[in-house]
Formats: sequence, structure tokens, C-alpha cells
Amino acid sequence: MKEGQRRVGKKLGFWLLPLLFALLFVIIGSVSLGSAQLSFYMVWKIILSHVPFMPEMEKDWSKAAEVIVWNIRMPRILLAVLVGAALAVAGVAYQGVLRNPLADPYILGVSSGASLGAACFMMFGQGIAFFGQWTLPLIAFICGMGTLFVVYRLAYIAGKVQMETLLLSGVVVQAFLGAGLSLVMSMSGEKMQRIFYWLMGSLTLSDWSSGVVVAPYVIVGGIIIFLFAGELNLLAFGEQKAHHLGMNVERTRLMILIAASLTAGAAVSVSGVIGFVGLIVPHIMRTIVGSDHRVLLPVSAVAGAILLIAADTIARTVMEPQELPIGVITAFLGAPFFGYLLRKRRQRFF
Amino acid sequence: MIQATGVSLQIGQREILSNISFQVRRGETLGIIGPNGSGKSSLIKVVSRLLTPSTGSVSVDGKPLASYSSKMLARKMAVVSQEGMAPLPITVEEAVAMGRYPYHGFFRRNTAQDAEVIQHALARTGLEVVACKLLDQLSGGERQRVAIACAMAQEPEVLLLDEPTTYLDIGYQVGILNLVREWRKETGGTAVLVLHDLNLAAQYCDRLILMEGGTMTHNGTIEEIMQAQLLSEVYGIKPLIVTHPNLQIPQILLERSS
Repeated sequence: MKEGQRRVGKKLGFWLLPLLFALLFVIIGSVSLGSAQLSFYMVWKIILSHVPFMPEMEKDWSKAAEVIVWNIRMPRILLAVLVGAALAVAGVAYQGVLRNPLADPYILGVSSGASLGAACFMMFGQGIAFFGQWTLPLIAFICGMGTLFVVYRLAYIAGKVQMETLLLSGVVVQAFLGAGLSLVMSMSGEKMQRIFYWLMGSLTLSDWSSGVVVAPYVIVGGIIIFLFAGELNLLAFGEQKAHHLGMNVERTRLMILIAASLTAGAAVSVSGVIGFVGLIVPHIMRTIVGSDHRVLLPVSAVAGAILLIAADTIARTVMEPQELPIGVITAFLGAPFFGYLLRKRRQRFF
Repeated sequence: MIQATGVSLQIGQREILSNISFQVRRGETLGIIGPNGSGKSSLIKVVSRLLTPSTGSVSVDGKPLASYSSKMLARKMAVVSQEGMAPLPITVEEAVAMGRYPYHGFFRRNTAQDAEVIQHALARTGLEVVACKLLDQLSGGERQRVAIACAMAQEPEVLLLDEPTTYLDIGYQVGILNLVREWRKETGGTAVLVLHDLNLAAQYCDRLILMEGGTMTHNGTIEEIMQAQLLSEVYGIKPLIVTHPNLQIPQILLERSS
């Protein structure tokens, strides 16, 4: 099957290259847009001046412009890339493992759990920051994973998990966690502003260090999920078939769920609850590239990054100078899409 | 090849299987027959380790089932279920290639040998012409063929087939069973078939097990099981046993109530 592998590679390249170009295009557009009126030309001169080994340039821009472009816009865009890719990949993984087309980190309550964990940690937890700045994503991951188990356990009735029950238990758990989050918020006093962002999701708080902290978690989680792409393909044929083909279904499922929750939890720890990205992106990509996870996963990661940059650009420019939470934009897109999927119920892939 | 000793299966309060013991010899084809709900499929699930027996044990090739790793077991035995491969947008060739999964490590690589096995499985099942078609464009009968090809690509020593012909027309039923027969002749493999059609069971199996209410009531040759008296008790029918004019095998004729 060398030939088959080459075919997968070709197919991946065929879709991935245009998407990477689109990503570059969106990044260029996003970095040039903003409430501070900076010329396109100047923005790019500033960025290029930070690229190593570039010829020395004459600095004909102000210190403020430099700060806006390099310390505010760039880290924010890179964070959007990480968070968008993380949510989309986690969505693909959840949908594949749970064999449920409506699964995504937000709907399964993973995001809520992770955000409550992150909020509690920021409020009370400074004393237990054993791993320094790396602790926050870890806490978010553990709480997100715990929430997933509670939701799944609730929906597990008579040896089966029905799609409707899973959605409902997700809603119930989210309602509970939402209340918890509100409680933490009202106790937080001056930190309220910061925690408020976790409710609707925002990339406002991004700087280079938040990207650096999250990147390893997202990358490691994403690579683990990608290594399980073949297993995800097998699982699409049903757990029994996967078992008969020699897969240890229980263990594989657990590994993928942990990796997906790690990815999603880390994203949530810096961005808060950004809904529906993990739902919209995998679905659209699946209709375009098919359901081979070896292609679907990387393609979804790039598409997720594109969607999140676009949504964030809208969020920070549409009501200038005021900024909208990015979750507002993705929910405006995602909720109708969710309704559409619910009606259509096309379970062709599962 | 397969040895089941005192296998019982209890799910909740219900006893699905009770105290079943049998043996399948290497190279033979064993048929499992019996009315609906008699535990045939559950027995296959126990033998393929999808369910763990409450008491008793199963061993394959002299080693207990539990001692096999998932992949080692999949190299020993392949299972084909009723429905065939699910109608996903994946090509026939890719689906058959999944049969090589138990031979791959975590950082898998398909080798030239894999390609050969896959091509051979496609050729043997007559699927070469549709190799590039998507599964969701195929009929149920063709998808069952794909399932057989996928199982053959596992290069197993035992093939377990759980009512593989249930949803198929006569042409496909005979086609699937012929494939299994040819596979056996070629590889000397062992097959265990759950079948509803007694005539096909009599033609394709060397030996039959008759199940009733979760117990194995009879285990014998075709001639021993295909008895009018016995079948009438088990199925509540009035059968007429005749001998197939060409194959000299007992066959059953049904008679409607007048």
C-alpha cells in the first residue's frame, strides 16, 4: 500500500496547501486591521524587522506602533491560530471517538469544566501552582476531562450512549458549571473583569507568554491525536468491527479522549469558552475532504485557525473601539449551524 | 483449534448461555444453527472475546483466549457480522486495507507484502473492479463481500461468520458461502458459521451444533442433525428430509399447514 500512502499524501497536500495560503492571507489581513490606524506597509515593515537575519531597516515608525503590532496584534493572532486549531482538532477527535456528529468541546461541557477550573485556580489556587505558569493549562485539562467523564457517565444508560441523552447531559452539566462560574465571578471582586472573559471567550488577555505556555500542550495533544488517525478511521466502522480488527477499543478511546481534552483544556485556559469551533470546522471539512482522519485532522486544524482569526478580527473591529467577546461571533455562526445539523441529522459518517 | 469448556454467560439476571462445551478442529467448517434467541450470536461473541463468559473458558490453538493481545487475536481469527462494512465514504481498497491493522505497530507502515495481501483479497472476492468505489455507493451484498475481503486480509487461521447471509438475496448468499469455501480450500483455514438456512448449512458445513434456549442440545454430523423429528421439535415445523440428487446431502423441504 505504498501507493495508498502516496495517495493520502497527495490528497493532504491538495487541500492543505490552499488552506495554508488562506491562513497566511487571513493573518496578513488581521494584523493590518485594528482601531489604531496603521498603514499596511508600516505594519509589515515592523514585522519583518523582527524576523531574524533580515537586513537592518531604518526605524521610521513610532514606539507605540511597534508595541501595537508586535506586542498586541501578533501574539493575539498566533494565539488565535493555536486555539482555533486546538478546538477543531479536539472536535474531530470527540466526534470520531464518541461516534457522534454533534460532539465538540463546548457541547460536551469540556470547555465549561476547563474554564471553571481555570477561574477557580486564578481566584484561590496561586498557592498550588507547582508547575509555575504551566499549571493553569494543566488544571483546565484535568477539570475538562473530569467534566467529560461526568457527562458521559450521565448519558450512559443500559450500556448505550444515545446522541440525545449525551446532548442533554451536556446541557445539564454546563448549567451547573455555569452557575459555579457565576459564583466564582461574584466572589472575585476586582478580578471580575478578568474572569468575565471566560464566560464568552476572548483573546484580549493574550501576550507572547500565554502563547508560549499553551503551545506545547496543544502541539503534544494534536500530535497524539494525529498518531491515532488510523484508529479513528477504524472506529468509524463501529466498536465491534474495531475490536475484531485487533484494536484495544477501551484503551484507544481513553487515549484519544485524554489527548483531545488536553488540547481543548489548554486552549480554554487562555481563551475561555469559545463555542462551536470544534463543531463547525470538522463538519465543513468532512464534506470537502472526506472522512479519512489522516487528511481530516491536519486540514481541520488549519481551517480552525482561519476561522478563529477571522472571528477575532471581527470581534475587535466591528464595534470599534469597543471589543466583543469572540464567543459571541462563533455562537452567532455556530448555533444556527448546530440547529441545521440537528434537523438534517445526516449520520452518513457515523 | 478452538476449545470451549463449560461456557456460561450471564447478563444481569438473564442467563444467555449455559454450560456449553465444544471443539472445532483445524481445517473444519462448523455450523451453528438454532432458533432466534437461542444464543448463537452470543456464542460467537464469547469466542471472539467481545463478551467474557461468566464461567468456563475458551482456548484458541491451545492457549486461553485471555492470553492473546488484541492484535495477536486478530491475526488468529477474523469476524464477519450480519451487516457487512458500514456504508462510509471510504474506498473499497482502503476498507480492505484495514484488515492489515493487526500486523502494524504504532508507527505503522504499509509494506509491499501488505499490498500483495490486499490485492489478493480483492482478487479472491472479485472486488478488483470496484476497488476505487466508495462503500456508500455499494449494495448490501457487495459490502458483505468487502467485509469478507477485509477479514481475509487479516490472514487469520479461523474465520467466524455471524449470520453473514441474513440480509442478502440467494445469489449473494451462495456467493459469500462459496468465497468462504474457496478460502478454506486454499489456506486450510477453519471456519465457524452461524446460519439460519438449514439447507445451506448442510451443504457448506462439515458438522453442526444445534442450540436451543442458551444450551447446546446437539452436536453432530449433518446426517445426525438433519432429522425430521429433531427439527420439528426445535423449530415447530413439519419438515420433510430429502437427499440432494447431486450432492447426496440431506436437505429440508418445508410444508405449509393446509
